[in-house]
Amino acid sequence: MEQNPNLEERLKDVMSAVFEVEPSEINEESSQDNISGWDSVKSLALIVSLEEEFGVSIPLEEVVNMTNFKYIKLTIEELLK
Amino acid sequence: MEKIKYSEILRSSLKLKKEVSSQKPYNLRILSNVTCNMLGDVIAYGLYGQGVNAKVSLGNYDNILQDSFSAEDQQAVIVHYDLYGILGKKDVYCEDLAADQIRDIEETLTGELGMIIRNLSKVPCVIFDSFSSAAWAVNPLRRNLVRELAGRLNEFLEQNRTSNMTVADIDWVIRSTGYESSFDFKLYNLTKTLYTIDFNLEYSRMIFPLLLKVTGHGKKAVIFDCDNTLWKGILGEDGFDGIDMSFHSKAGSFYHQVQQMAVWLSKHGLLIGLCSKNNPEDVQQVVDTHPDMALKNENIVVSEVNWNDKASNLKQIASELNIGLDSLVFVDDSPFEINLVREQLPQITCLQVPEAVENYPREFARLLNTYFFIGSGKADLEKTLQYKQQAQRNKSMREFTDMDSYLKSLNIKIDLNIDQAPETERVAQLTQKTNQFNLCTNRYTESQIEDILKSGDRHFISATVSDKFGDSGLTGVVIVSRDGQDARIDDFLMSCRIMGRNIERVIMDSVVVLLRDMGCQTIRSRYIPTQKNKPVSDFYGQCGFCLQEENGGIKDYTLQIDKYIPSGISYMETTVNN
Repeated sequence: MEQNPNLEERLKDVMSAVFEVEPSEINEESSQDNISGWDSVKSLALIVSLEEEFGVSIPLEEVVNMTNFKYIKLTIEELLK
Repeated sequence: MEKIKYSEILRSSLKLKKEVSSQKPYNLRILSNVTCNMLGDVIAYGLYGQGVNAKVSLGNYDNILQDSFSAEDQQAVIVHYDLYGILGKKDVYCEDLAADQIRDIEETLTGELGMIIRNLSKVPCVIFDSFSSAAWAVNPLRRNLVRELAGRLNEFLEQNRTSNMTVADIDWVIRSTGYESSFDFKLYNLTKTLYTIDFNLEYSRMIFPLLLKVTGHGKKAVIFDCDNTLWKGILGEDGFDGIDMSFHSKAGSFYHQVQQMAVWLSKHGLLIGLCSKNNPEDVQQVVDTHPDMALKNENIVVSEVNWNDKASNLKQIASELNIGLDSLVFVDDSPFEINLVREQLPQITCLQVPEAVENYPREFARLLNTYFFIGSGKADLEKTLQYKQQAQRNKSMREFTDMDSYLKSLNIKIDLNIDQAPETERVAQLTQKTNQFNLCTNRYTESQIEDILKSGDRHFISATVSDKFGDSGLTGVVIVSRDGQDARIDDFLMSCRIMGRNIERVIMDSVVVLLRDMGCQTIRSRYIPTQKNKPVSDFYGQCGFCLQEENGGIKDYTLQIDKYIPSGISYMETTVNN
């Protein structure tokens, strides 16, 4: 199945807005460990922004796992299927 | 606020925040027992957009009472005490609570609420969110305990409401957002965030007119076109008997309703004006004698009816009323005129009369709810008359060429009152509202002014100004402190209604004499710049005060009282009442 070509860009866009960094600073390796200020408040803003951007509802049990770019991308892709 | 994504709010806020960083900070704190980070972001974004350097902070989670003890440095506080957070801690379903449990909860809560209200009595603006039972989705066909408890708590808030406090209707926000879109029980489970971004945007929209007002960005006037705006038809073509704004006719009734709303607004301190391309005497005849006009002469503060373009006329109106263009709302039926104004004067908010005229009253009401906060104070009621006199004054000024002879012709009288208890409400109100002629822009609550009254070493001097056109009422305030032979002017402010008449110089003469008679030898004073008070940046210099220090625009002055040179203005009569 063809991947949504915009998904990665949109994801970087949302994450850059939430974490107050340039979109170019977000990459495959970005995670709670290497983005400064990714605290619980930012996690909340991230979930709300992702759900709004992609029109999805991230399941309760997945919310706590949304701590790195790769997993977030996978989860959103799954939800958009 | 338009529909905007949360991530966009966060991104834009970063940029807007930098643009307003040189402005005086405006401190707003949210105290709540649910997580309100999103609300804080949304409100800050809205205020940045208005040029306000908002410093929005959150109290500690579920520490409303404790935090209310230390909020005196805030200009605004929002209290959101959520019943869902309170009853969610109980071990039975809310409908299954016993009567004595409900009574205990109610007693504890009203006790806390009373204390919170008292603790916040000195914060200039307190917004108390009402209690709601909506989060339980209770059955609407039966009496239920939570809804009744919420009702009693809301009644308590109304009964104990202080003058600085507004109760915000949370059920209105939920209705307006839609029940399904208001709550996020997943985020509540994870982070105690009960409300969605949509709810927070709608809430922010609801309280925004109040925030605009208390930050000095509120709209002040509604200016109406006439033809097809105040009535159906074109006066110049259809004639006096052909236009329709009858309450009893099909199309006319919608125009009549809008006129009725305008009458109500004029009674609550909003200024109503006309701006129309028509023969002035024709419009005047309609206003004076047409039986279907709800809007009367006494409601209309300013009128520019002529054949000039509307943008020039609106500029003229703003200058006659001495308010900024951004304080105006303009209503017209013509897309051409609306576009012209939008292009030439983008600061003005415009409403085009909808083509489906049945929507006109509702759209006008929505516009009012977006931009105007109508408080319950009584001091606003006389304002229409005073602004009307002001507009007449400015009009007759156009006929004089020499300013001094004009000012002499006004027969200005100034009454200065010192520490008069009955004036505390109006004095506090003036400090809250005055932006242009305000040297330090400190905002005082009524109780803070009362504190000055009780202190021995601080005084407030009020100025009531009248002239041959009428009484402008209490329109100037000076607040001073004394420490032995040293005095300090803490605040010097005047309503823009009396600016431009050298009244400030005459008031300063009296203030200096007053402080000298109290045994003072020096007076210190200060100017703090804001976006709006540039015109008075050199006021103290002009009065002969010596500049001691300038730091980031803030200027500190001193004056040796024996070196003071009075203004020498003799055409005003001043009376001082101790």
